[in-house]
Amino acid sequence: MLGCFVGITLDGNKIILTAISVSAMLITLFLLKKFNLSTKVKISLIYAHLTALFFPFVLFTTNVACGTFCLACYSNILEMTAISLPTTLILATISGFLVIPTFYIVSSKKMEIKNREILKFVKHYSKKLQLKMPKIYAVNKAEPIAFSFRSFKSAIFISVGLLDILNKKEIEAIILHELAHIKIKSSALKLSTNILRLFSPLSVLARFSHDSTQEEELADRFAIKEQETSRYIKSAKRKIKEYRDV
Amino acid sequence: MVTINRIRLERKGLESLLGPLEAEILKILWTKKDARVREVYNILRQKRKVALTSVAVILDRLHEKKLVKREVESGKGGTHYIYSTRTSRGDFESSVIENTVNKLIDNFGNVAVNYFNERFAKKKGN
Repeated sequence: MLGCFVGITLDGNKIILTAISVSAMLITLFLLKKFNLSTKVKISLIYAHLTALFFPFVLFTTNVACGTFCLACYSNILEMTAISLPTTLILATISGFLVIPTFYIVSSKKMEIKNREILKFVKHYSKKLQLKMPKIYAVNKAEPIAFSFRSFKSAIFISVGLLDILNKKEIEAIILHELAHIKIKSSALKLSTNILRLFSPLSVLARFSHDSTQEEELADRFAIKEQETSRYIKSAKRKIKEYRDV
Repeated sequence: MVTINRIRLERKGLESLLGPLEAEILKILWTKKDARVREVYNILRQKRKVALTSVAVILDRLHEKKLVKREVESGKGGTHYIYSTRTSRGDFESSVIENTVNKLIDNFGNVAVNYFNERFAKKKGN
């Protein structure tokens, strides 16, 4: 009978693995907080932190499940890790790249822009930047906002209020700016940071900030280079500021 | 019913109920039935100096006050809001008067009722 409950017990192996997970969580947070790392490294560290966070839960859940159903439980560290780590990675990937972006796309009040000229424009520059063409959505909001994210599929969101106040060239400047953000994966870092804050209780111990000024400048520079003038990106930004100042 | 919480007695007409730009924009919408931000802006800028962004902000405020409604219109010209008024000018003014008189009666009871009776009697006498 003891074999049926072996998974439910708390043994030395599980304690060691949990301790390793907590240490990994703390180390990843320390690295995020202390060093000025590249976007790619930061995103990798965030997901490493989340994997370390989910790992003990997966470990205990699978152990309890196999113990409850009297199945052959894995008893040594290697077996536990071999089963729990891939499961954790799959869960982290699903939550990070599928569930949350899909939830965002489905929940926001938006409609896909199918204007031929805009689509042609986006297609041309996506090709130039070697990106999979993102979908363009109009968000039903009067506040002038634009943002993008890159996940399993990329998307650019522009509020109807922003489309109302910009002319064609200014809209193109905003699209170029957002395409550059997708290229440099700045939205992926923002999304990952939000997921980290949402799921990890330890993230409050080491709040790290991400200075987006450099990314904004890069995105602006791309729009200026492609339009061969800074006029449109500047006037689009001025209008957004004016709207907020009224 | 239109809810207006403040009447500026020193001003006349619609401007006693709304800001000057709000009143002007509402008048344009009553004339045009429906319009985009840019259309309202093009009419307004012939009369006064105004920024497109100010028109967009005021239209959003009127929408928040439930004085105008808006729908997203998507077509060849792009995606825009199309604004229109919720009520005719006559219905709007009647609604404001009804709301104001009801509030005066709620707050001052018989004093207000007696005053209105006297006032209407005088008006009939004239």
